[in-house]
Amino acid sequence: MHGFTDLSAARRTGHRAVVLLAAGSLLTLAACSEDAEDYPTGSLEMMIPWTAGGGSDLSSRLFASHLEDHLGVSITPANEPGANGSLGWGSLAQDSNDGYNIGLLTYDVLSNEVLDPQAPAIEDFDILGQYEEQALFFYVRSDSEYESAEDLEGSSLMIGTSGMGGIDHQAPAELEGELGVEWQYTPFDGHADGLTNLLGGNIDAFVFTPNIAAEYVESGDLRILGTFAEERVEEYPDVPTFAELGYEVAPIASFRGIAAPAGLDEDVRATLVEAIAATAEDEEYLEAAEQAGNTPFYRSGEDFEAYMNDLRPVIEGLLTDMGLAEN
Amino acid sequence: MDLLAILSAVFTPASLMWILIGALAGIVVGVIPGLTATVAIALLVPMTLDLDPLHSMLMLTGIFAGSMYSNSITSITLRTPGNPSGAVTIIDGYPLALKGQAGRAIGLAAYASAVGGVFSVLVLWLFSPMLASVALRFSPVEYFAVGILGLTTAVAISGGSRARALTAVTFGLVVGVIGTDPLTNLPRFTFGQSELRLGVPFLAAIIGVFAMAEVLRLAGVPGRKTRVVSSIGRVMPTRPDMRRTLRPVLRGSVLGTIVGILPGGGGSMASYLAYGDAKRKSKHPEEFGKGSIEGVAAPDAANSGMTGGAMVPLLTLGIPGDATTAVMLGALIIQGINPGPRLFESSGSDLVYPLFAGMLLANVAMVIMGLALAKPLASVALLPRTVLLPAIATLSFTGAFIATGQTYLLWITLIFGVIGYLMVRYDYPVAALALGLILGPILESNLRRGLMLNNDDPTVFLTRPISAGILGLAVLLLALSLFSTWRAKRRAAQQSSIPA
Repeated sequence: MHGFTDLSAARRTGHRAVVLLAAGSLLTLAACSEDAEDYPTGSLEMMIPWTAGGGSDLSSRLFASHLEDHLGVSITPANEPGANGSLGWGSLAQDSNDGYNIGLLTYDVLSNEVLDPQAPAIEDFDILGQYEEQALFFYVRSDSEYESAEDLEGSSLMIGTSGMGGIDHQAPAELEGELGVEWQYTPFDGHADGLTNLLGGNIDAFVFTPNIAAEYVESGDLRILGTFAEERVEEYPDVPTFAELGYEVAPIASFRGIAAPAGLDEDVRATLVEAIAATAEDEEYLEAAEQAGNTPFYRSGEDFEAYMNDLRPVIEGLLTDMGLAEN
Repeated sequence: MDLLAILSAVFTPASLMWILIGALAGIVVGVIPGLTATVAIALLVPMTLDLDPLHSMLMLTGIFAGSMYSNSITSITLRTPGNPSGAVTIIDGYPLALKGQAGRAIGLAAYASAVGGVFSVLVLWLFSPMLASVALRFSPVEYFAVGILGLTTAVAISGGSRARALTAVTFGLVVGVIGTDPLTNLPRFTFGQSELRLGVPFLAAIIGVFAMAEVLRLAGVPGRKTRVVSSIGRVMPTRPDMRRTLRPVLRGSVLGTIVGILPGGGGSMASYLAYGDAKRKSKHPEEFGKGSIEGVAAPDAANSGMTGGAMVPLLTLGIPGDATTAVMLGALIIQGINPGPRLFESSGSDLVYPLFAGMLLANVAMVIMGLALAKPLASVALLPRTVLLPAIATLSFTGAFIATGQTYLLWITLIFGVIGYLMVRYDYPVAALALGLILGPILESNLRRGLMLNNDDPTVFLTRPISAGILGLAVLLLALSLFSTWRAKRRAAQQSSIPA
């Protein structure tokens, strides 16, 4: 109300309003340029497109809590789950690109681009860096007749996934094509549900990242037949990669990184990229991530973006072959 | 199961504190019309994120148990139930209060609630590990059958018109398909609105139909001149009273626990059934409705018995059987805990069994606090509406908003508030709608999954033994319900045909 009376008074006195407005806009401009230099001055919000308590949620909250130290301001996590992440990413893409809105990016952003007509594309974001990568492993029960990857030739399996067209559906579908067999897929409600059904004998196989099923491999309930990673994974030196066994599968892996709405100010972007890089090397963070069973892996913003751009045609081709996407 | 480890997890200062806080909070919200246990828990879920999972569950189950006792206090003294489950207590509780025996009724309600609560937790403790080990082999086919049993229960023992309950359940199921396809993650029935992709989030809708609807209803009711009972008198139950009500209390506890275990049962159903049962079995059926102490004790034992029973399907299958446990499921998921058959293996000794022990303690705490606080609590419901209604409306919006912070959820709460108001006005069971909303997605995804796993063969739901057994139980419940209506009608016809 106050500003309004000012303006109506100004109309009576002639040009006072013009002066006021000009002064105001100058101040705002000054504040803007100052913002970019002093950035960050307030707290950031980090959008997490998954439900609270899940693997992605916990991993990104952990990363954010250490990123705070390197940015010098607090970061507030905000969960916006729904539609396999599309809802959260859609709202992040439309958020203000003032540097105070960042969000978690996972592999699903690439799948959604192909599958979901309403999903945003990675061009809608400023890609700031990757902080985690998890290899995918092929699990069967220990009482399964399949003891090695070679046994899968000529097999007919019912495989669980955590959603049609998701990464754990794409990976086995790739292998299926290489083996020239016919497998069937049933989507479950996330990994925990899939794991229960695999252990309970309702499905034959599931492709997980190792932290999900580690305790059941240790207890001897589950067996790993191979990994989709490019090279053998440190924790499981005896598990062969499908590539070394002669199957031509693209090395897809689950990843987590940080992005902001496209069009960040250059200085702001540099500040964020630096802080993310510093956090990814931070001993304290690495130790905490190790403790939580995460697998830290850093790529700079440019490398991360290039990596995702290389993956895009692969994923599109896969989903088209699977009959889930149109050319 | 190591008893010592369980007890050492419960008997820590922090655990005991959360048990007390939960029981106390439950007793307080139980007397406030519009603040049901469901809504209170929904409001607190986002705040439990930083708590230890055990502490969070101890507090929430404490609220559940506490509110099932105290909802009777205002039924007795003001003829206004603190929440729907306490409505049956009015029939005999209020006449007792008019005779100047409000304290006697409140004391018996506390005693009956404690017996029902303790009994149901013992059943939960004994029964759920067995069920969990069977459920390890459950496939989507069996989960679908459990969902069907839940819907049937809601319709069969709704206590009112079956057709209306069926309508309400179906409406809930239909609303459940709006949003995102659970298997493909693609939008459906969103009419191009991106916000509708969220569908109708359960929490916002539940808060709407239970709390907002009550605000709208109370705002439209002219201040009724109820004779307020101010003299409560002695609340400690006497021995002769306890002896006389022992049988109805035990029967009510068993009935309530069974209704709780059946997915789809709820506090209102449990107390209606127990009241009818107590009247049929009583030596003095003519006293019922005029101030029978049995008519107060039986339903109170039953709706407290329901609390432990309802935890059985939640913990062993991850299927919530009513609105309150559906909200608790959200609280567990926030903590990264997935209730289901593997929960007993993975967190038996650090969560499940300590929780059971804590629930026993919560019932003890509830009786002590409930009796001590009966008098001040009776006046809580006398808060002027100009204070009460805005406060509940504000809390409702906060609860809906706080989970994800989208304004869209406020609209859902408001719209469902109006829907809930109209349902109560035209006598449709709101609990049945809530159940349709809860079970809809579970039914749909498991039906489709069950078919995908079995080459699209629909007979598999009848050829798998466990699934066939559960579906058989559903049919049996429905048949029983139809039969009892038919018998009641025939009796009425016979009585009216006797020439006067």
